[in-house]
Amino acid sequence: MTIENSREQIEVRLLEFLREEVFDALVTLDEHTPLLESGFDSLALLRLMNFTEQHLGIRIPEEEITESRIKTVRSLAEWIDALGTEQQTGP
Amino acid sequence: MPLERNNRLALNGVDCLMLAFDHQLKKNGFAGNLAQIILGIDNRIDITDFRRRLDRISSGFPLIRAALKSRPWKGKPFWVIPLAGVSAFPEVLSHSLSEPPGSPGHAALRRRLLNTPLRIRKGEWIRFDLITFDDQTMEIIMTWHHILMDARGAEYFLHLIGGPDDSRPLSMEEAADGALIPFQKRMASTDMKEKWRLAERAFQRIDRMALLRPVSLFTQRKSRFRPQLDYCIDTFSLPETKEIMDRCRNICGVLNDSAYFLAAALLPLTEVYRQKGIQTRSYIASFPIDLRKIGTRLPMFTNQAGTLLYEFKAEDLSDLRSVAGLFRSQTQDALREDMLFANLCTLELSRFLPTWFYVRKIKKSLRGEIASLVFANPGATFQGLSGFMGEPVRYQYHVPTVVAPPGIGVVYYFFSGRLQITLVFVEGMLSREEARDYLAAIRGRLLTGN
Repeated sequence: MTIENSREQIEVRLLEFLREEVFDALVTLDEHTPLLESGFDSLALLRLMNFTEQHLGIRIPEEEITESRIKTVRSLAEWIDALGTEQQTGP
Repeated sequence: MPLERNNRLALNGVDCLMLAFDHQLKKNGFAGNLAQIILGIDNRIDITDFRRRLDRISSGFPLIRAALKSRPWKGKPFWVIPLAGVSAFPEVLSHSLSEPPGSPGHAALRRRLLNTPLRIRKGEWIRFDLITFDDQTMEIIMTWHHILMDARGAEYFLHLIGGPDDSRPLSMEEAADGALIPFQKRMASTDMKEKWRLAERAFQRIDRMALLRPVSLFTQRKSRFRPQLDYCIDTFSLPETKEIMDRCRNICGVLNDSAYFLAAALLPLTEVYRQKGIQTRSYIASFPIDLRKIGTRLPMFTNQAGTLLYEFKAEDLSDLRSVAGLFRSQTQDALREDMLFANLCTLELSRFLPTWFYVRKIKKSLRGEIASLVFANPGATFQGLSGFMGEPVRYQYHVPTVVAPPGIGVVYYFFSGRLQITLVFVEGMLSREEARDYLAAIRGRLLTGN
C-alpha cells in the first residue's frame, strides 16, 4: 500500500469500484448506504477483497470481517485504512 | 442492441453452454434443458386477462418465438428474430384438478409438466400451465427453455406479465444485451490470445480435479433410470430461517451462506452414496454465479451466469464447519486466480464449436462425469413477484432442470423471507422416499449446524 492512502481516498476508490463493478445504477450508493440491505453478497465481498489487495495493496483478513465493519462504505474505508496502517508498520 | 445482419442476435457463451446441456439431456432421452417458476395464488385470475397481458408483452419481444440457428464449425449460434407475423406461442394450457393442492395427483401433474418438452424447432421457448383447484386456489407454472434466459431473467419476464399494466416498457437493448455487464465488457476488450490462455487454465483445473476420479450417482446405473426428472421442495418457517441464518453466521462468519448451504447438502449426499454402495474418491460441485450487477434482473433474454467448480476429497467431508471452510478457501483461490472469467473464456470460445463439443471435453476430462452435484444459491426471489395480476403470491418455487450426469441438483432461495430448497433428481436414481430423506437430512444439518 502507499502511505498516502487516506480514508477519504479509499472511500472514493471503493465507491468507484462498487458502482462500476458491483451495483446497478438503480441502487443509490454513497458512503452511508447500508450495504447488506442493498444486496451486497458474499461474491461481492470477495471481489472487493481482491480489489483492495490488488489496487490498494491492503489485505482484508476474512476472519476479521464483521457486520459493523462492512455496514457502509464509510465503515469499510475506515477499517481498510486502519488495516493499511497496521500492515505498513507490521506486527 | 447488437443485432447482426438479417435480424440475427448471437448467443453468448453461457447460452451456448445451456445449448450443450440441452443436447446432453436429449441424448439421454430427457425433455431438454428446461426450467420452471411456480406461483401459488389464493384466488383464480381471469385467464382471458392473463392471455391479453401475455400477448401484449410477447408482441414487444419477438425474440421469445425466434428460430435458433446453429451451424457446427461454421460460426457461433444465433437467433433469427421474426420481424412480423403471429405465433401460437407461448401457449397457455388450463388444467382443472379435483384433488387438493399437494395431493398425489397434483404432484404427478407437476412432474408431467416438467418432463413435457417444448417444441423449440417451431419457436416454442415458453409455455404456461394454469392449474385450478376446487378450493378456488390456482397455480401458474411457467416453463421455459434455458437457452432463452436464466431464472433471473425469467422472474422479470413473469413480473412484466403479472405486474401493473403501466410498467415501463423495456427496449430490446435492455431486454437482451449483456454489454453493460462488467464481465461481458471485459470479455469484449480481451484479445483472443488471452482468452485461449485463460481457457486453458480453466481446463487445467478440471484436469487436476480428474486426478481423484469423481463418480456421480447417475453414470454407473444410468441404463436403469427412466429419462425423467422429479423434484421435492422444502420450505422453512420464518423462525427456522432466522435460526439457520444465525447459525450460519456463527459457524461461517458474515456473508458465507453459500458455504454453509453447500456443506449442508454435500454431507448427507455422502450418506446417499454409502447407502447405494457407490464409491467415489471425490465430489465435484458445480456452482452458478449471477454476473448481473446487484439490484437488477436485466438483461432478461440471456443467460448471465458464470460457473465455479469445487472439489472435495471424500476423506475431507467430515463436518459442516470444515466443508464450509473448504468451500470458502476454494472460492477465494478461484477469484484470486480469475477462474470465473477463465471459465467464461472457455464458454466464449466454445461458441464457435459444435454444441456437444464442450460437454464432451468436460466429460472426457472428468472421465465421463460433469459433476457430482449441481448447487445454486441465487438468494432472494424477485420482489416484483410478490403479487401477480393484483393477487398476492402465496408461494413461489424454482424448479431447474439438472444436466445428467450428475442428475441431481439442490437450489436454495428465499421467498417472503423464508428459506426454500428445491431438490431435483433423476427419477429412479433416487426414489421419492430417498429424496425426502435426503431433504430431511439437509434440513437437520442446517438447523443444527452439525
